[in-house]
Amino acid sequence: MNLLLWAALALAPGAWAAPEDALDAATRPFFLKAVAEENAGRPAEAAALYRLVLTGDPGFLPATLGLGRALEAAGDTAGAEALYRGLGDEDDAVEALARLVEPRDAAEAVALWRRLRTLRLGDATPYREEARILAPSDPDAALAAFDTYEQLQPGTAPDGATLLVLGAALIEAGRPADAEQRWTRYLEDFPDGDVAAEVRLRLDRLEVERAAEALALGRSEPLTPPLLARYFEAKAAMAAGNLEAAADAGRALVGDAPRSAEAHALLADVLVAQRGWEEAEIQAIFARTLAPDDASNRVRLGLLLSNAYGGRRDREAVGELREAAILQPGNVEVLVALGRLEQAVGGFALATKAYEEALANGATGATAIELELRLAALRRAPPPPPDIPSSPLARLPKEAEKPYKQALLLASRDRMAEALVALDAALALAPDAPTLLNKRAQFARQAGADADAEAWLNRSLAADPAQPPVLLELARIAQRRGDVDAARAGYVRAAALGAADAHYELALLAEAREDWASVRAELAAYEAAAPGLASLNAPGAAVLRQRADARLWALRAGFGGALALVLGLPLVAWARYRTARTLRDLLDGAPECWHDAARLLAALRHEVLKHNTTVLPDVANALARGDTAPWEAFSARAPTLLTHFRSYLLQLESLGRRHGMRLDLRRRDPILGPMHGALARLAGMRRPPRPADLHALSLVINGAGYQSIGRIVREICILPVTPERVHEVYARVVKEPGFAGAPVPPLGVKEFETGLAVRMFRADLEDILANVLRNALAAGAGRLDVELGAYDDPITGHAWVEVAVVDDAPGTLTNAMIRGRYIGRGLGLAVDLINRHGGSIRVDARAEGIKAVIVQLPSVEAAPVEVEEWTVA
Amino acid sequence: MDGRVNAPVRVLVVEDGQEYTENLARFCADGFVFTRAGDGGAALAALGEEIFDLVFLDMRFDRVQPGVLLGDIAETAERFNGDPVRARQFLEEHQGAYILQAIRAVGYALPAVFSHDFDGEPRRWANLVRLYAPVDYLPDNAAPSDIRATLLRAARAPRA
Repeated sequence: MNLLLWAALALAPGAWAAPEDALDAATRPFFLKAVAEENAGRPAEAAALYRLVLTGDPGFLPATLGLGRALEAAGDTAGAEALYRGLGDEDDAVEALARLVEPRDAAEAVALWRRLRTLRLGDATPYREEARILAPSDPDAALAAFDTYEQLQPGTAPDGATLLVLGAALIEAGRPADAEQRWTRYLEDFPDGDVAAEVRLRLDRLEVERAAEALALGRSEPLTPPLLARYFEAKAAMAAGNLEAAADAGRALVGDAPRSAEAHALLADVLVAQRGWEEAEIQAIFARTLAPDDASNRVRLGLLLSNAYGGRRDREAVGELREAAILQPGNVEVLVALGRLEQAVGGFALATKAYEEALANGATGATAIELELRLAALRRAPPPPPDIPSSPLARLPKEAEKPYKQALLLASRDRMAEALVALDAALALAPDAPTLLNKRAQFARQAGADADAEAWLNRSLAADPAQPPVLLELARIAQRRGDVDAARAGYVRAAALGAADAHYELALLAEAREDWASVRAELAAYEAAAPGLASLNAPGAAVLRQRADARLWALRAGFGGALALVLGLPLVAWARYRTARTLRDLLDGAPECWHDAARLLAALRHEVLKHNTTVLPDVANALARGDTAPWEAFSARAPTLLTHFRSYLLQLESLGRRHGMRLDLRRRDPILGPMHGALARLAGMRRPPRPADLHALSLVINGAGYQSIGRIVREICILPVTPERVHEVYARVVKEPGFAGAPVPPLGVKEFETGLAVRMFRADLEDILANVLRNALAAGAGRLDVELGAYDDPITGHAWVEVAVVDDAPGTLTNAMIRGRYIGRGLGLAVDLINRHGGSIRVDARAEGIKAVIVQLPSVEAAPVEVEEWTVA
Repeated sequence: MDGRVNAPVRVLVVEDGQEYTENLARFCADGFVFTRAGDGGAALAALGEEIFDLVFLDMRFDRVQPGVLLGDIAETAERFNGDPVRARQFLEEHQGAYILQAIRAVGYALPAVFSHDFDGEPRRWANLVRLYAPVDYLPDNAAPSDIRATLLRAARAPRA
């Protein structure tokens, strides 16, 4: 069954015998919602809903296939593959599996398409796909499959992409006549359309190659002295910038000396300068064919192919440059150009080699700096592939999945005894699966059986030693039973594997033995390793750091320095006060920390102030009436409130330290300082105050402070996202040297919703847009559209601005590549910026050959107040 | 309010701390009975055991263990480039909405009041009304008298 047709049927209201009719009434809405989410490009949501449907009806095939598609779209190809394989000879699953495995295993993909021939008798698609995959390796088999494909759909235009691939493979195999015959026949039957235009272009190129070959029957002929004089005249005109005269002279020269590689090369250079790419390419091909052993002709053609086609013909270009490097070993210019191209096509090892050779052969100045930077980037170990959250199931042996899922379900319903039986059943099938062993340990801990939990965790660790959370948990268990040495050893191992929280635990252990220097060292390691301020231990770490600072300071002062302390203390305090900075300084000096600061301020405003301090006027009114009970209740909580407030200040100060700035928010900050003073005064009151004093303190906290914080959080850096901005960015990108004069597609921008705005600096948004657009162009996009819209979160109501960059560039870009940073530097920068601003990026497949890179950024709803840099209203 | 004449309004307060419950009990005690639930699971359990006239929801839950947060952390991580830390943060910051979604999903249609400032987010608020009505909100700096008025208005609003 055709998947798209099926999906359309599923969505059609009242469609006859729709797939969901097989579901019960309770499950059906989830299935329809899953299909809608999938069609709306939200695979994670779709996957969750399909899973839900399968919980109710595990045998419902459309949901299983839908789940597979959604997992693929979300980058979990292993999960999708396991699903498809589990469906045996189900034709849709075989097709999906064939497409999935093709990049990794073309032979298996061909075998699957052949299996599909028998499962779908009369269907042309398997033959077409077989032809496409086999073309590069076995053109004859591909031709046979393609013939059958055409016979099965008489009168219908064959797939253009497959036809072109087949022709190219035949040319590569030295059979250009066969390619020409196929392409000519296509033009006779289907003379119109994009494919026909591309076929004509390829045939033209064949003509050029053939003409060049014919010319090369003799070797390149040297120019006679009179022609040589004209050659230098043309060169001089070119050097003087008179390109038209140079082109005329070059064309005349080529006419008089058609077998001179120099003449063709000269004309090619002039045409490149004039951006006449098509004719330049022809002349460069002539030059290279006439003098194939001249490295400069190879370099010229290679660079031209690379620059003129925006990346689409980089592979051909790299071939020319490799030849050039063989012809002229040690040539720095050739090696640098080769390295750049190798890197662009993903040949990282070859690029590294080329750069190293270029440096060894004397690359200097700016070139050497560029090469060092490129080498540093290439030598950096790539990050490990991301642990996709749904992978625990994917890592489990298939037979253990079902009892494991049952165990999770039963545990979520508090039926622990049954859950344990199910989990043990799963463990019997997969005794070394860390997922199962860890879950078993969790069950044991929930039952209070630490010893059992420890045994299960040790088994898990034996199966996979690289599990920082397991090491952390084991250390905590050891600590609970009083074995501090074992706990410390466990935390050290976990910390070595990158667990930030292990450093925090080590700091606490150091505090217990009053080793304050170790406390500071571990906290520094924790702050360096913790992901932003998101760790649960961040507030505790900030408080502990303050304590350690105070103790270290006191220790350093020592008894002997008591006098100096007494005399110097005011001076030191004054100096520290004068050099400390405010929140405004931090945001001015380190705007990249804005999101973390805004998050902390929003939390402070919500968690500390909210109804805690808004009751102050009511407390004051009660006091005025002689009722002290509300005051007593408030004053009992005031010290906690102050501690909570200080904890947020400490976290802000910790943020400052991360950005090289020492803040003193209590004493120096014009917003937070007075608020802290008012709260400290409230916490220090031993007797009921005068009602007027309470009203005054309320004004400081609930009035000025609350409003100022709100203003910071809400009113800055709001940036409209408009088609004009996208066009501006695109115009800048296409003017970059890498695309100069190259044929670039016009940009279409569709605005599905107006008034879109995000909170960030303009440069950041434009960097994100520029890098995604540049990436599409460099990958060879022939079509490029940007769609601007909004997405409303179906649970929180939160709106997100969605920028979809849709292109038809060849090559693969998957979500797993983005998450694992197997991407270029520019796109990596865009991902960093998106993450910093709380957004996300993913790739969705659209129609065949079309993909959309979708950037989601949190939407803001206040009136736009665009700023170039930080300002506080 | 089930047609009870002059009966106190029964409010389920869902918050990760104690502040709301204590303040409400102290400053809005007259005519109300407040019951606290510390997380989404406890809220659903309370609704199963008792009848309430409305639910009062905190939005941010960063003082609970990650395990009790409602919402699928794996699925949420998918939306944040596979980052479970940001996913947990998102669930914490919007936990009130997740709890209300769960309350509605199991069939409770009682009015809900968020303690959250939606004044600057009209679109988000419209979405929440569309998803979860009857629903209202109180900004963070609402005084007890405002809270009282809003709770009474929500509890007495005609039901669909």
